[in-house]
Amino acid sequence: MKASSNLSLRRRELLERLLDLSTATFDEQVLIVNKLYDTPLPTLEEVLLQVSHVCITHGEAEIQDLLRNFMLWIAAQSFSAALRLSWTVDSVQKIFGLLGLGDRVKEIRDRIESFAINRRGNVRDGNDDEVTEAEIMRKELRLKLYNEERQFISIVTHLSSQLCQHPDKRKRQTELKRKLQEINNSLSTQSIIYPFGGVADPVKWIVNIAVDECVVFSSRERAPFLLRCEVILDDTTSMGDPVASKLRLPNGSFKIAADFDEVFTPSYAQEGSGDEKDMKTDGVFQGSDRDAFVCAFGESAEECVARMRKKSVFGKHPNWSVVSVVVKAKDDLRQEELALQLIDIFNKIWEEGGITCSVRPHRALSVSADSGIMEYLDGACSIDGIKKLCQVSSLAQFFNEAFGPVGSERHSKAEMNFVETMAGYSIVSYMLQVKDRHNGNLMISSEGHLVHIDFGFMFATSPGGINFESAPFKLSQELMEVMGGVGSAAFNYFKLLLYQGMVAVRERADDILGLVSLMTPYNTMSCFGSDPASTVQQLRSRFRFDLETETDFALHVKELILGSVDNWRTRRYDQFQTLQNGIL
Amino acid sequence: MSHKYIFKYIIIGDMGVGKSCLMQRFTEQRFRNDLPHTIGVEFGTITVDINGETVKLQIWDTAGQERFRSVTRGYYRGAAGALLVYDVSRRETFSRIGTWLQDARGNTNPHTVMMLVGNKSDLDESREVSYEEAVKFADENNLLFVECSALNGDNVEQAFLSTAHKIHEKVMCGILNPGDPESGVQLHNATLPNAGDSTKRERKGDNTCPC
Repeated sequence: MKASSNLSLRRRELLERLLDLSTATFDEQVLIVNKLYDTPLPTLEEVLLQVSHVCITHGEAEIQDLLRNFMLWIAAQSFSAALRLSWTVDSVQKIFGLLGLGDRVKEIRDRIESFAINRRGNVRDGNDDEVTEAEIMRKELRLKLYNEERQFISIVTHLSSQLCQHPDKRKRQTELKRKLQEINNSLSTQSIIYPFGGVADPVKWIVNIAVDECVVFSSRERAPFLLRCEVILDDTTSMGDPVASKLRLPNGSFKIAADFDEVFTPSYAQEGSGDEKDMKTDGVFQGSDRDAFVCAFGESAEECVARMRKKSVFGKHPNWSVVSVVVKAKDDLRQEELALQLIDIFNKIWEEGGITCSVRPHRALSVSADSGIMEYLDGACSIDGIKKLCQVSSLAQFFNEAFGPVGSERHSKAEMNFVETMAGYSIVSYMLQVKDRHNGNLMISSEGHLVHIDFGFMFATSPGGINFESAPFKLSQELMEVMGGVGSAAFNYFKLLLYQGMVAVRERADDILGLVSLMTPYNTMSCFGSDPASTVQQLRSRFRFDLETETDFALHVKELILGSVDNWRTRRYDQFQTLQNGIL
Repeated sequence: MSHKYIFKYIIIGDMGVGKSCLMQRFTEQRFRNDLPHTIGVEFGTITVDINGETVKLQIWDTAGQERFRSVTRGYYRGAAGALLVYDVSRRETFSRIGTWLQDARGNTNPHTVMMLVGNKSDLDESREVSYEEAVKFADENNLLFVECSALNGDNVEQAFLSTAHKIHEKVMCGILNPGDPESGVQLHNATLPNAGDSTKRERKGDNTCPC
């Protein structure tokens, strides 16, 4: 609690400094930039989207130079931040080129790379003898990692783009596996890491793509796919400098453990021996529960990992694990990245406040103007998918069949998880004005959590340019039924959480407002509409600072709920999606 | 927008000939008189246009000091281009180019493009190595050659770009293969090459390349 509170204070401080830059005098700006160097790296990484946007867009030329140097300093301190900055620059280069900042962005891009490789600013002044041969050789390893990581991400996102050319789903899947197998053939000599994570996180070295576990998702115009990779988790170093590893040797092989010299040998003899799926009966589940549950969620994450480990030539390494991402092309993920960052902040606000209202944070990474990757939500299925796969007519029916009868322990736990995340995403949807909330974009986890996905329309934008979904948030009859309907204990709990969550968010409004407004200069994101200042002002007004008493605010929250319960526009939008796109 | 190729470079030569100033002049368009001695290696990068294709040059500036020689030699492997730098106002730096060349040939792949670079051409009054003498050495050893000045920028771009053009030619001919890590050339937006593509490229090279 103390640690996270401290981090949020540092975040507040950082945001205030970044915001002050636009109103301070020249001399004050110089002081502010100098103070930025005092910010802890984890805080900078948390707010990296905003930091990079300010560093690129700041108007005063001399201050902009100082900010660029600060940005490069970040790249020298944290390798993962350098990678993210390089992908951020790749994502915005075209836009800023059109806005007259192309030269500035190009220069920044080249120098991010040299600062990341040299880690300039870390080299001790004076005594050359302190620089070891090992440190000199690390620069080459860093460049190898930088080049190969960026190439790997470029290849897989390009692959998603190529798969679009095959109209036939089966052909897409076949082509996906063929291409991934080709990539696999050169992985053993390459340095590739799971790109999510910061200086406080261990490195996850990608050693193999689990080709048989990779799936192309159905989509008309795009071909996003699930990429499952085997990794070796390395806590002998961090994402701040992966090549400082004591577990991975310069030639790419791994030791069994950092403390011993024994080198791990992949058991290639096992390759190709695919054990049949072990359908072990688990006594915990009733027959009918098992059917509905497995139907929606397939095998559990633990089962999946255990099965993969058995098949894997790396599976015997004690640090072996699995990571999963969704690869997307022909999709601008910058807005997704911002939305998920804000959602993560909302969640931290509630955690720090001791409130059980929650969301399920995951991360997105935009790597070019029209491609990127996202963390995959394992063990979750869309409401639309559940209805189609499990042949249930409503979500409540599914809850009964998957988690057991109302009142049973499992059902109560699932219902609790549903209510808590329902409250969390209701607040998120309202504050960020998230649209396109059809049942293809609402997921249910294997523990009953509700998870919203796909934040392509928020703030000022709506599907088709028409703001039809005007309810504060989606609270359809179907979602109500899962909570037992109006008057139920679960729904009362939902209302309480919504109020508590809204109060907590209101108290930390400056964080949310700061993160959003810092992204508005040059208006590079469509979600801000034609007038970003107006969008920010509307966001501010949703915090209802004009309401002075707790009672007034409580009444306001009550009105939001009343305005959302079985809202006719919500109902119509779902009906439209059913008729137009077959989403149930 | 994004680069198509990466070309790796090494810059080698005696201490004090201006290797770091050359790299900085080229990658950062500026000159610093007070650059400290390079410790081991220093990395720089810049994206340029070669025959209409975007190429990222990744450059290792190596320390000229003897005590770093063994560790910096490891960086020669996998270089597509090598700049051998001497100081036109200090004859001993030119005299030792032969040793540097021998080192480079022994540690790079046979198709690495090598250029002899006479830096500090602005110090004409202090010149100790004539242009003609250096041209002769370059011709005898199959090296490209240019005199330049990191101080005023003369010919610095040319040193890197003419080498890059030569590397690009070799890539087009198939002499330098981006799929080979030792070549020092890497494709960035790699559409995975398959057997058909490789064969096609080789055939095209045979038919059209004047090399």
